[in-house]
Amino acid sequence: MTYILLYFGFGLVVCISQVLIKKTLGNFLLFVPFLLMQIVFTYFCYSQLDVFQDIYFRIDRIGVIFLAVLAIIAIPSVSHSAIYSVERKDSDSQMAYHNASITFFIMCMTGAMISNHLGMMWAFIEGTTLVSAVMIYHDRDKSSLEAAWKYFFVCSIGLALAYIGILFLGIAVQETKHLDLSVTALVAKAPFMNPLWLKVGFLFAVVGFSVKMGVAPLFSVDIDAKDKAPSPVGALFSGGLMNVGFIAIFRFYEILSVTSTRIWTDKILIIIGTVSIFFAAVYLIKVRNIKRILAYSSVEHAGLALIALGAGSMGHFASIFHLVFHSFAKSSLFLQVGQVFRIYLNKNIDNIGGYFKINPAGGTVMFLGFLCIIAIPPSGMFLTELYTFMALFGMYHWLVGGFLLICLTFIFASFINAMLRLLFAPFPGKLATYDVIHPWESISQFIMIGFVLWMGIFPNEGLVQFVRDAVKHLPK
Amino acid sequence: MTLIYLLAAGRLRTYAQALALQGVLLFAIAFKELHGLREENYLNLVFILIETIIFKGIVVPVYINYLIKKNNLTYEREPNETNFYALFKIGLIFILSLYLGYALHNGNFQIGNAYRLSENTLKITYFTASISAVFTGILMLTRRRKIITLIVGYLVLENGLFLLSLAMGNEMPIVVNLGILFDIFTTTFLLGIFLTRVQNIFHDLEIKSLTELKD
Repeated sequence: MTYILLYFGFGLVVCISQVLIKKTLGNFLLFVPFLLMQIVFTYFCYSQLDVFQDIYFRIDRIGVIFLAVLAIIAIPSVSHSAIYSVERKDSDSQMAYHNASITFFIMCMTGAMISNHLGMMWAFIEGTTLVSAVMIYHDRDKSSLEAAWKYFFVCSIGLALAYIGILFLGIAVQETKHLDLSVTALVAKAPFMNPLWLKVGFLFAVVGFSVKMGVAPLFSVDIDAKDKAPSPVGALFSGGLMNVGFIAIFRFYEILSVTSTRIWTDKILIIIGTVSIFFAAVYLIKVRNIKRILAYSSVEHAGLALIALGAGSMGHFASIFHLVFHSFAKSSLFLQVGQVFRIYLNKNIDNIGGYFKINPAGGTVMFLGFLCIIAIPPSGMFLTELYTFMALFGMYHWLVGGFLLICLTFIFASFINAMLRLLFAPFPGKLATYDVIHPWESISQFIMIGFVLWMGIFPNEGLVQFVRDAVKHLPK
Repeated sequence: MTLIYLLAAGRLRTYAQALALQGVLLFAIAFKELHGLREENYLNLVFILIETIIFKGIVVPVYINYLIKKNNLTYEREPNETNFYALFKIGLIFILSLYLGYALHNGNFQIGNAYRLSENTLKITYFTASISAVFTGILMLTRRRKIITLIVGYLVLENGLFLLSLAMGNEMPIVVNLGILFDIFTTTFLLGIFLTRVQNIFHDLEIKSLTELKD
């Protein structure tokens, strides 16, 4: 407990000093101790695995997995955001608020991942909403204002709905003469609870947290946010916040999976996932903005993760791995798109092209990243999608499976189209001057995509076993 | 008593064209909740008392008023909505939540087994009131066009939630309460800032001016 408080205390100190110290260098140097602490804290959580637990916090495997992902993604995101700020010559105060927001954002996500108490988790997730408004509004123009307003507003409402869900669970647990709203206690008491309240609570919670995870029904603001926010923030949204939304839904699923409502819960997850993928497929055909393409692909993968969770057996395991791979691949793509924008000053794929010639290193990242994200075999995501479909067909969801395959084919086609245009199509018009981007700026992306590919070719036994253990308490 | 109050409040919410009244209304809600709390006897009673009276009762309404004055908002009239229709809707919401509350209470819910909730599990009046407040909030959020009304709708929704947590009598730890307080405060504050920005940039506070982002 002391260590957790120490972490938050130190994080807050960094956050406040980032608001106060407005000099560029000092402000970014403050990230160094914070990120170091993030890594140390992740390691600490790993060492305290299954040992530490009280009513507010609990460290379990799924939390540690996503903490590690967050700690890894935070480093390139922060360094790219430094490049972004310097390139665009942001004013000091603008940058100070932005950086303080990033610190607070990472802190809140960490808190949500290790929360045991549902109310606590809710408060942390709401915390991410508050600062994300500042992050999205970074560019201070009309459209980013609109995106920030919409995101902030819909998130607040979505989380209010999620809070209703938590309250309904509270009513349910009260009938068993208990007042404890921690996940562990709820899991223990769930079989004795009134299924009606559980179901209603679950529905509210899933709808509410869908805004954070970026799945149907409230995914649209998430798209706007990822489009209008600076690319490094988009990377954090895809690589961190989505996992937080998943964890929130996962906690509810943990509670409901031990009750008689489990089959119903699975169905709900599969329906939500299928609807998300359908929307993603339809929109992807039409969308020309490269950042929005990436954002819709996040909707698709979040939907797949929920379907995998709902499909059960191998699916539980696949859903977590899928999100881990997705986090790495999508963050690196978002970071790379930031560089694409710096060259072309345009996000519409009809107005850009020939990226491979202009920036070979970045082009390679884009190429490999696209391969990963559409799950072409060397990518680890191919394996997880394979497992998902095996689980789905294993449960005799033939219709859903078939429909998903059709949707995925459309997504595949749209993605290939976008990728070929961006990388190899001749550039329409003439590019007068552009920033020369040094290959070392792509190193972090290479490492992250390399991990996904490496896990696809030689899955690491230890990691696989760790993830298997993380979901082994869920009923098959 | 809560029910009568809520009928009046609900009517006001849709009726009131002058938005300043909303501030008074929020104060009334806070005051009402205050009374409810005294009957309850909570552990963190003091905290909630302070929260409702100072924060929900004074700070937020004053701030909303300030926003209205600053942005020269005088009235809101929905061109496509008559007063009778609004009244009808709030009546419908009210009856629905009453039915829901009593159905749950008397256990004649026809889903699966009949589940009967005991009186001390759920304060039925509060439950009804809070459900109607939540519905009203959602209605305001979906039907209204002005940004300021959306904020007020959000606050109504939050008040409904507050009442709901009173209804279930399950107490959140003080940390969570603090978090929620902080959250509502910053949300209102930030929304206000955004509102001013939107006013400055778009010169209009209709939600239809925010439709640039789409596919």
